[in-house]
Amino acid sequence: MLQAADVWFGYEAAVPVLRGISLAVVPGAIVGILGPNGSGKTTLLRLLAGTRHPQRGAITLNGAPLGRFSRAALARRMAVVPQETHLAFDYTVAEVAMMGRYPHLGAFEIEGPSDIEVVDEALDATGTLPLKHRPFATLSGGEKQRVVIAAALAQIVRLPGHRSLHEGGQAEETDEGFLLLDEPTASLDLAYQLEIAALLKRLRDERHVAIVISTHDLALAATLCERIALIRTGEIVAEGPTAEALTRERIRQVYGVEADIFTHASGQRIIVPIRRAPNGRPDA
Amino acid sequence: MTLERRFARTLLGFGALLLATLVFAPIVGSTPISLRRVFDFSVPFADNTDAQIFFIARLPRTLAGACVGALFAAAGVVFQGLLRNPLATPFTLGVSTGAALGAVLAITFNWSIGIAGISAVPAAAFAGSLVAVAIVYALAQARHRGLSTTVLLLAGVTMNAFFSAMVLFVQYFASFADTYRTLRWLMGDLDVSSYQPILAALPTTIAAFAIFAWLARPLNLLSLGPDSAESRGLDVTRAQRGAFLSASLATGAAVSIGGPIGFVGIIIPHLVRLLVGPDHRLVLPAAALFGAAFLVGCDLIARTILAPVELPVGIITALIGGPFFLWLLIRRP
Repeated sequence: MLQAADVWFGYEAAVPVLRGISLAVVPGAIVGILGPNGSGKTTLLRLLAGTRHPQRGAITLNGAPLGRFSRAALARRMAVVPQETHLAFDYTVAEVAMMGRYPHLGAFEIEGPSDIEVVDEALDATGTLPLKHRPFATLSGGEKQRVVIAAALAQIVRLPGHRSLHEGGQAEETDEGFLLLDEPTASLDLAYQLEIAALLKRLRDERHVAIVISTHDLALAATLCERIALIRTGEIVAEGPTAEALTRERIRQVYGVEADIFTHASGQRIIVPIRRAPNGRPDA
Repeated sequence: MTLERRFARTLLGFGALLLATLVFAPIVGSTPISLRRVFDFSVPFADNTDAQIFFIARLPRTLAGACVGALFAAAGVVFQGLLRNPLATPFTLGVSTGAALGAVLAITFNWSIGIAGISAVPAAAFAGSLVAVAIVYALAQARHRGLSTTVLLLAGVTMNAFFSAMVLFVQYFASFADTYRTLRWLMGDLDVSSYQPILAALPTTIAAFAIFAWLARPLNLLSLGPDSAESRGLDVTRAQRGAFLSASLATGAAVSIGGPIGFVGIIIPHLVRLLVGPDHRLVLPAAALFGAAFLVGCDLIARTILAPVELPVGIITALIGGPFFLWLLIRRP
């Protein structure tokens, strides 16, 4: 389980970006972190991934603080998918996906057949195996995002008998790994948004990977996430099962927008933003 | 094809090219020599002009070219990977000129005390390049989104202007003969006439290549950007420091031997990436071998094209590299 307990953090000590955040991600869950721009979503994701450290409170993986893991040990359990990926050089899709295997290899170790198999499987799972030899830069936005998700998947596959299972384990290895995605669909067209949402759901169902998504897209959160945490100016306003946490009142409180919520015939919840709330400001 | 096979093929291909130039270059020159007489040990060395030309003039010059070419090309690869910009090189960033200032100071004031077994000129050149690199590092840190091409090139122009002015200032303290010597050296000249500069730069060269070997995979990950690299398990700060340190060591060593020869660090990495792809585990060794062969070849042209006059090799690399750089600049979006 990945857990944040009363976490405080600021890039400058005097300006806290996160103020007392508590959140738990159980194995196999899909959790959404929702909030308007600048509410601290991306920062929270960085802390959950262990690339930033809380100034107060603690983030633990299976009970052990993230600081106790080596960077590589942590990377073998958690992978981050950024909003966009720009490469400095013309790598192929296979090379980009293989970068996910970095934390599994020693300093001068070369990827072996088992690593290539893991990468091919991850590409296959994201439907990008046919693109394997294409230069990454020539792909569409949706294809790129799927390749980066494949790299993240390849990153959290721990092979039996591999060094990754023998070292760095104060924590019990009961989880199948965590994918942390930062606004994964923000720069994508509608069709790609649906495609990524379906892919994430399938990955969770088939591989039991836990997924944490930061997003300001209410529709995506409502259809994909089982639990959500609504955050505003670095504080959690509501946290719980999506149906309970994502209410008209909360949306007005966090986004300053009047919205209606329906249940569609497909069973999906639909959120329709109507107008800016009177006074025009969140929680006014 | 597996990486092992691509690696072996790359090493063999570029290694063969380097070997060919290393064998060919010392034989050719304004004075024809015969290899049979060079290795005719029945004639005493003092009477054997062919052997003298071969061992005292041409072989050190060829080896110097190989070392300098390998160092500049590999340093170029490292700067480009580190700053995520294919136009970053020791020369364009002003690091070569910083190293040159250090070396000119050591030459002009006849510093002879070495540091930790490294003799004065390479040590001073390394110190100079380290100062220049520290400025680039501070600049890159101050800009969270990394250095844009514009900022990078402007910073390089500024650094080059500044360090060049300092070099000219130091020249005021030098005698006329020294000034002529350093001026020629500043154009980039491999006429070393002894093995001493190569041996003096050997420790820093070895240190630089040792760090390069470790850097290859981290540089691949850095292409994703620092945040993504970190979440893949890379210690980004350590990788960046290693890259800055090794590139400074390499630039310092190269400049202490041959002066600030330009454009090797941009032509070679670019051509190599076209040939073997962007994986730094292939690019780094390939660039080192190809850079060595390239500079030896350029120097061969420099000393034969207007024979018996020998041009500084920096003129030849600039003639090839200048248009190449402009072409890259135009072609890039």
